[in-house]
Amino acid sequence: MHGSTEPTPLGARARLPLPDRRFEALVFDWDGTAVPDRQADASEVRERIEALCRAGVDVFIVSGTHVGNVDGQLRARPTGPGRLFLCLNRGSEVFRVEDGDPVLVWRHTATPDENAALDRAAARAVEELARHGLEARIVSERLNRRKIDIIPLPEWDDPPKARIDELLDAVMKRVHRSGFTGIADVVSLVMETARAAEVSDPRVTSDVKHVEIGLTDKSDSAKWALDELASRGVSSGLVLIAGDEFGPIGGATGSDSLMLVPEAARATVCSVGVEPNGVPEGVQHLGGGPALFNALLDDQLARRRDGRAPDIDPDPAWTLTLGKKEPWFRRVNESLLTISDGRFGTRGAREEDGDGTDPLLLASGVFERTDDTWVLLAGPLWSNLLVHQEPQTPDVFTLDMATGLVLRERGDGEHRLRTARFASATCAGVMALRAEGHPDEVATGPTLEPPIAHDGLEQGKDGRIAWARTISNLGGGITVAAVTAEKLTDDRRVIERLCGATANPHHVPEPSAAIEIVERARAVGFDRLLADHRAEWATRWRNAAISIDGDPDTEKAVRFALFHLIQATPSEDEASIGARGVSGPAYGGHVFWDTDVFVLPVLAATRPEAARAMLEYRIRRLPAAREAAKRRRLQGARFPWESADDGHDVTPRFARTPEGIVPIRTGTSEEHIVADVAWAAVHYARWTGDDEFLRGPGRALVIDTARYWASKMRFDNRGRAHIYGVIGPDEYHEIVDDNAFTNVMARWNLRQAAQLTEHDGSPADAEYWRGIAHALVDGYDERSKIYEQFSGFRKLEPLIIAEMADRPVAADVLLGRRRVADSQVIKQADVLMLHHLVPEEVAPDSLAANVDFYEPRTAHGSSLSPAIHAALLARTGETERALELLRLACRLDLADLTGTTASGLHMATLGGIWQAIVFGFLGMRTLEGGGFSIDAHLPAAWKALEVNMRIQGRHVRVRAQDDAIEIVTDQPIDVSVAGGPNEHVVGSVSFDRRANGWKRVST
Amino acid sequence: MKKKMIFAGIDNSGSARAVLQTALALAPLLDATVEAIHVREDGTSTAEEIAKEMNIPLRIVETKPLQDLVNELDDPDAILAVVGARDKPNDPRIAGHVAVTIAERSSKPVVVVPPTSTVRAPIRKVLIPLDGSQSTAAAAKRVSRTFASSGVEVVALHVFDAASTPLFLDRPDYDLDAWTREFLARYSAEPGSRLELRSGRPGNNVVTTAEEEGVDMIALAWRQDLSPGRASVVREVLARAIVPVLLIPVKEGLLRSLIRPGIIRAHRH
Repeated sequence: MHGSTEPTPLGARARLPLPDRRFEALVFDWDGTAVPDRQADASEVRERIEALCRAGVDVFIVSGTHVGNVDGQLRARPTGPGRLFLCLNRGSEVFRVEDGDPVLVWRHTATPDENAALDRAAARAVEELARHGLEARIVSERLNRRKIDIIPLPEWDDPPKARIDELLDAVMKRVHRSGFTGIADVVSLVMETARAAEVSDPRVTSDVKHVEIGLTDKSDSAKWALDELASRGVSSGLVLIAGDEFGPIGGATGSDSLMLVPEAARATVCSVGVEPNGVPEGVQHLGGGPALFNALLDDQLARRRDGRAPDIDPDPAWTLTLGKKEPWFRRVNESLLTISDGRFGTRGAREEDGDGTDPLLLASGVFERTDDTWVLLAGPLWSNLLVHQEPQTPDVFTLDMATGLVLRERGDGEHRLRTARFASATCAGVMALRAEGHPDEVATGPTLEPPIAHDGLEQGKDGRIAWARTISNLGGGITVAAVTAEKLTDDRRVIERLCGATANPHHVPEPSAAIEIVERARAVGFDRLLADHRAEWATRWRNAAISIDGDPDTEKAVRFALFHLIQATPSEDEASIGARGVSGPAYGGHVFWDTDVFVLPVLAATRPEAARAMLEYRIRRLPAAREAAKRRRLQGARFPWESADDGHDVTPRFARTPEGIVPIRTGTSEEHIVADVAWAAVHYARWTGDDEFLRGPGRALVIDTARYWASKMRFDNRGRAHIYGVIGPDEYHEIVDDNAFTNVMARWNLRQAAQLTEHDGSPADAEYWRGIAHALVDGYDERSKIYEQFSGFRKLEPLIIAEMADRPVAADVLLGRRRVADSQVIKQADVLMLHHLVPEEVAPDSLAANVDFYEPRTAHGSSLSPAIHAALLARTGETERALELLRLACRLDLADLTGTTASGLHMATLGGIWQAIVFGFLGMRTLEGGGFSIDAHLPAAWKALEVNMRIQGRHVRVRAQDDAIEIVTDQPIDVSVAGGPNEHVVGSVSFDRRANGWKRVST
Repeated sequence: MKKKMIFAGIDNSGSARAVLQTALALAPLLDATVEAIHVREDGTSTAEEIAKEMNIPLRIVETKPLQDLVNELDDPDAILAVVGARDKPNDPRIAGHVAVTIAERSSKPVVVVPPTSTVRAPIRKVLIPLDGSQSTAAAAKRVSRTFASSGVEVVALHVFDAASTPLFLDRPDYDLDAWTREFLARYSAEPGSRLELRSGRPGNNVVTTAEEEGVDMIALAWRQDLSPGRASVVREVLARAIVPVLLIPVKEGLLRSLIRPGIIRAHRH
């Protein structure tokens, strides 16, 4: 408890330590906090509440009384966009107030049994109190509660709040005379009687005059308000909770302390009451009553009016704080802080120019040609400001992954600089920035600037809106428009910039298109854009959030991965997801198998429409893939190893390495990409339940790729089929024959095509494809249960890299390309990738043998390797080594383990992290015919793993512990646990681990 | 304003000419004048003759303790010393006593000139090996900037060895490009510098790269410690290089205050 102090005199209000934050919502007690009593004139607070709602703030009034009392006194009719809720009747009802009468939006209604129990409890309580000599009376029957007056005397019939001290004295004298030590003693007695009367989870409180027995209380009001806010992306750190009775009175818990529910963990809590016995830890005691409460509201209104930069909820589980790092980490941070609306990525560079920054705006799928390759076109820079502060002043950047907001803070006191930016998740192409700082230290400067590495920028103005565009030598372009507004006071300059971007790979968008986006954004306004953006992120996370009890670092890293994967993909049209997304220039935005195999699964399970857009990218490039096959005198479609805009192969032919110029052969020979695309299509359809996709637009992705394999394979004189001269995922070994991964994926591809054609009436094709699929050799040795990675692999020098070097290691650099090629050292999962992608296509029970053989030979020199091995090792039960590799994958970008994160995030690694969690530790797979199987293996450090996802049109939440699994679904779905029979799950179902397997224990 | 000075320490051996040629080649780049110093031990005739021939003022000092010579380099106007590595090409030592002492104790960079050095003037191209540590980068940066501002082509070199092999290398073309860009941004003062990457034994790669690139000088940051087991790269380069080697002292204070960057194996936690 904080000691009680004299209430702060109102005359000193200007010096009051009002919370120095902008809140998105206010939750407060009514009687005694917002108004002195129930008879008081509420016009002043009404005006402020309506003004706050107009400014976009959500307001929740909490009171024990009924709607007639509160609404009759308040009479507010807010017009929005902020919302007003009355959370009344001691937590039993919530009303929404707009322009008409309050509308009931939620009510807890007691069952007849509950009401009977309440009646019993109240009657017994009065009897028990009488037995102690304390006369009490049941004064009314209210919704879900019974109220007992413990001072039923005429002079205390309706005491105003202002006489609370006198009332307390009078009540204490009465209870002492009856042998009670205080009101808390009375409350305890009533609680006992309530429990004896079988009231479920009784809530017993006292406002000094009364003791109430109920089914709900203010905690339910607070919980409802905070849940409602959380569903809009406003978590507790953005909420102000105010009351006047947080501290105990007469030994009983202060009624407003009931609002301090776990959901309010990071809320700012203020008391304006007298609080004679102090306030609980974490509550700021301001005193001053309703007048000071009005000052609090005025302060929040002023912050809105002045356009102050928004705050974030500093929840360590959802925020990534990057600061005080060595200067060379700045560009790495810029990648980590990238924000994207799905099309446009803005790196998290600081707003001002300076050494060591690499600001960049990229548009997904908009390329330009350089001398030897295609790269993403850089767009005009929109976030530049002039900052005049000592360069050494440390910057602290915070990425709020919960709401997609980047906050920058620098300096302190009057020299404090804050900026906040986001890329709207609801308005395509809209980016927004607010900045505030000392007038001498921050200024607007040019609204748009040319990208650093691009010559030529067309620009102009249309009224107050500036526009600029960069033009690709391939005919496309990125056009950006922005408007800057500024408010200046003596001690602060506040800058707001709204930006609209549009891009097209084949023509240069007109300025008017970008200007229109800005106009629309301006009409909505920064605050509303932000509120909608937060709400959309809340929806996204409901379908994607992962929690790991016992491993906060990994949990945060997993959320980081999810954040970037989810934000970097558009949900319509086509999605061209390059190896580094739109977070940096590396890999030129080229699309690899990374996209189909590593990134698509997470999006299929979190944003199915985005996964569909990724497949649309492949569908639209089928003509180019068919042409590529034809050029090779083969049939079907051959997708390129590296793809950019038009679907032709853009793989470089040579590379400079420490060993000199070396040829890059992946473009000509890493052909498993053909089957990988088919795998993505089938995986998407199975996971999302979009059956029409494979019968419709996705069909050719499976059929034409199968045709390619059918024409590519060669038969020997024993009738066995081979695929010669390819590169598998292990790129240390080039141009090999019968690479197991390629062959088995091709076989799988042919069988999938056969299955599809059977359904649509081409049984001859199906039979043929099944036949040749069966003929494909796969290098499997039944005795050892090991697949030979390619023909001749066993004859290579048996180097075990695990015994030679610390891993991960780029073994081709360490040992040289030739040595590695001649040895059994491999770069990443190759054979094992089959067990990961198509476990139904490999020999049963062959996983462990192949993990034992190949993992020690794997250098993990590919950033794709650790996460996939984490998934595989989790499935074999080697959970500790699996966790080690998962953590390595998690740190790959966060700790810049590759030395290249400054050039962009490794999207495939981020996707692999999700796969390690879901396919590995949870052991989830879709079931033939619908539903899913689960076979969880958790490391010792994890107390529980909880994953939210979309699957086959359902929202599913899985919570796994070592000995229990809970599955919650919004629609029925079949589930098989650890190889057990399919269980039909409706709602929530739990399974317990028993000696003889898993047993369903509840529905 | 006093002119910046390059001290060229010469003896009576044949390497005196190469030392003076090197000093003269550096002088215009550093906007400095050259003063030759000869410690009288076994006469002065050769030193005097060569200095006269090359029109360089010669100061002859009487068997002065070496530390006094080192102290002269503390003079703010003294920016560099040039010394011969050893008298004879077949001398098994990497450098003679005088050269080693001055290089180890000097607060200023010291150029060590091999006896068979090919000195080219003007100096057009310099190789600067960087080991990926902030301390050596900081030491090399000023020298690198000075050369570059005089129009000298600066080629940076990083050698991956067992201790510095990258953890990951997805694709040599893309990743080494990105890695190189970031490496230069972190460790090179000069925008647009070129970085050569090699793998293997660093000392060997410095020497062979210098030959491949045809550089006129190698500039190596070092910790001024040639005790056994230390400075293996400097030892090998001094022993085998055929061009002058500029040894740049790493400031220990700086060394302590900077940690090894995270992009190579020091990442491992």
